[in-house]
Amino acid sequence: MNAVSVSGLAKAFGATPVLDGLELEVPAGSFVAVLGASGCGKSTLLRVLAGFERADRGCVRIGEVVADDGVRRLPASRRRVGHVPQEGALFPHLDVRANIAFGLPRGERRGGARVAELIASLGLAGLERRRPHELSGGQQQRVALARALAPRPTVVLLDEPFSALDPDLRDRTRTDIRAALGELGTTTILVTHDQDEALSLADHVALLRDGRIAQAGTPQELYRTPADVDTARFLGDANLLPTTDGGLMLVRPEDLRLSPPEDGAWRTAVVTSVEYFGHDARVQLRCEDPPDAPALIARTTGGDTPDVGQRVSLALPPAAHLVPHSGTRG
Amino acid sequence: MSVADATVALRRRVRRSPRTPLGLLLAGVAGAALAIVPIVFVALEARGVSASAAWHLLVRPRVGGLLANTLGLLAAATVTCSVVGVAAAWCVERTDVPWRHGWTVLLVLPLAVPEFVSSFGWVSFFPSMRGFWGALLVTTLAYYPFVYLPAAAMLRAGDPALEETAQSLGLGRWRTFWRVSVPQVRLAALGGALIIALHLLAEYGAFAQLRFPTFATEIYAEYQLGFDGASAALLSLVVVAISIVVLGGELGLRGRGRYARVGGGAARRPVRIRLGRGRPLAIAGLVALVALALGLPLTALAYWIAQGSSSTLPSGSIVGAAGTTFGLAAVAALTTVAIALPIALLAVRYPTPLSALLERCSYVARALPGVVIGLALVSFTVRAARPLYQTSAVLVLAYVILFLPLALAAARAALAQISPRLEEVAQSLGDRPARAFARTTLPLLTPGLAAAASLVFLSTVTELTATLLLRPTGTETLATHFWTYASALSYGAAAPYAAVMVGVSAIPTYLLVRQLDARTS
Repeated sequence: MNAVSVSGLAKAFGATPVLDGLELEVPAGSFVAVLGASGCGKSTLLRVLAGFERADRGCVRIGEVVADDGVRRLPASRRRVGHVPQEGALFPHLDVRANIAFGLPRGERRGGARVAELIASLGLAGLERRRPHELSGGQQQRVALARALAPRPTVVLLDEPFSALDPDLRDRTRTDIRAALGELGTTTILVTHDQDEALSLADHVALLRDGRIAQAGTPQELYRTPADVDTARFLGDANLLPTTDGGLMLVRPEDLRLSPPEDGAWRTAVVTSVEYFGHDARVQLRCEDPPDAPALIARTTGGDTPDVGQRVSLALPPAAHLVPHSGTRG
Repeated sequence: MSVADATVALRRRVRRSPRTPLGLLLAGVAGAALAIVPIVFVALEARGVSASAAWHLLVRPRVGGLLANTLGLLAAATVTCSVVGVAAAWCVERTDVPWRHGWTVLLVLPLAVPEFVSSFGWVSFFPSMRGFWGALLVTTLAYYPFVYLPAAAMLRAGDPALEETAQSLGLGRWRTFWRVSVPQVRLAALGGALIIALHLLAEYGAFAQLRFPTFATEIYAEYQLGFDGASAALLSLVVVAISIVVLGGELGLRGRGRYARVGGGAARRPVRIRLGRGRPLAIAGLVALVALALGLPLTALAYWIAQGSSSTLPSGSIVGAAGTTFGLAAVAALTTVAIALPIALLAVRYPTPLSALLERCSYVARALPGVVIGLALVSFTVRAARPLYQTSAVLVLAYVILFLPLALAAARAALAQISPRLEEVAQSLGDRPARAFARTTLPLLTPGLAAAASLVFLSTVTELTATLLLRPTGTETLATHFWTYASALSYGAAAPYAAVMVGVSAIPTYLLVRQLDARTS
């Protein structure tokens, strides 16, 4: 069963189309990341799903219920869709416990079994009486998630919830939240512009571009077998080598093996620059033959970094994905 | 156009923004319609006058004299207020004059003395102080804080690096002041000067006491002599026209003022200039200013209270008048805030051309002096709502219209601080829109609304002109009691009423100083 199913969704602001024929299926219990560049309509999609914006056309189903078919619309208050906005939006006049209990029926608000359960699973013990301004950014996001989860929503929507956190906190908060959501088995839709975040957290990734889903699949499918050039590039560094039949061969930087120069190698190249990150390094290469071949990018482990100007041999990976050339868009 | 027609037209325009709740929209339209009742009635009244009659009423020596008086005082007082206000702010904020916080409080406190009370102080001690120069002195001393406050805020927050740079470029202390500090505060001072101009156009009590005829006193006098609606309406339109010009200037300035607010994050404190031998002179100047602006009116009140207590003071009536005043003020405060809230919600949360129009309508009253609003409501009730004539309801309506801009600005500022995401989250947690508002935005808004209500309350307590025109027979407020006694030269009987009003007004004035401190610390 699908927790969320969207078909033919269109939404425009004035004359500007934002979503245009969007299709999306979110299986119950899964964690789906909607990935896209800023301004591609990700937040609008979430706001339509949550019921804060109405669809112009198309159909949005939440669970079994038609939430919006462009004519009739279920109000946000009756959708059972949890929402965690980017900035958390905790109620500043309520403490942590009251924030989490906000969406519970009055009777349950007092007893607090559900609140206690969420406080435990999101690691918020000891913070119950704090006000939002007394919490760190990561704690605020975990409270916002607990608050969204409390009424047992059909699906919870996360709108770039980690982007406001500093890098160290971001990694830990991500891991904690992913673990808690997995444990509770909650269907989740995460919207993000960060491909690392999407690939590392989600069971399924849907790439949103020009108001529609350009490609959807597992993280591996999207990364290893992108449907077109733009998708290949958006998900990470990509070497796209023209093939004889007019297509493009995708070689990810980590698939290129560098070795000391030797005869009979696939290519020989000169290192033109090295960006060293500690755990690994990004190496730019200029091929020696043919002279007009495009520059290549390789990734080496941090312990095995070549020097600029060094000559190396390159080995072709055993199996490469072919990207249809026609898939290129402006 | 009737309200119903207007609503239909409005709904049609709003359809593009379908989220605007209809109930909220209707409340906003009703509130804004209320605010423009006076101007509509003045316009209707004036329309009944034929062109030749209008020519006769407007083009006569009397009106020329009023125009010269009004505009002359406007020009002179805005200049003197700006000079006094900026100079005082500079001395306190940027020189080594001691006891800065104390000076700030003392220099702002004259705002707590209603103009008709300070003019009473002067006239009761120096009965010969009449006419233009008297009016200029009294209004300068009463209104310079409107320039002092923004100028002090600007000088306190301003970047000292600018002045240091000027000095490193070879400018001396005084040339730095003229070429760097003054331009910095110019916009702030100009904004204050325009607010002063609006007050000068609206003021009735002080000029009546100083026997300095302006449009406001003339309109009131013509009303008292025998109700000549046409003439009063035409004169009102002239005042409204001048006010709109002033208001336009102020709105234009506020847009540019944003650029002037440079370096809000400047952590460094401004460098204070050592005045050296000039320091005693600066202190003497501040002492003289405070003595004249605050000391003299308060001394006058104390003196006349002491004089009056020898005669038999009817102490019962002051309690009664205070009760009436506070009751009216409380009702006015609650009503005004209740009307301002939907308009503020529409303006902040549902910004459409229509909500902007509603908000602007509500600010129209800023261009309407109390005497114009009072007269318009008198003719409105006489013509269209006879049962309401001479009731407290109309008086409260006048207060609502007068102080709606005040409440609206405060409510709007408070609302802008609250994220609309909170209500969305509450809805996604199962609350219907109205309940989501009541559980999230409303509790967060309460302190702001309380501040708005107290501002309206305190302004109502010292309102004189509209109260004189509209109070039901037998209803006396602190201001009208004071006015009756002061006009009859019973200074001893008048002073206690003024003392209560000054005491009450001191509270919001002190809050203004606190705001200045909070904004810049």
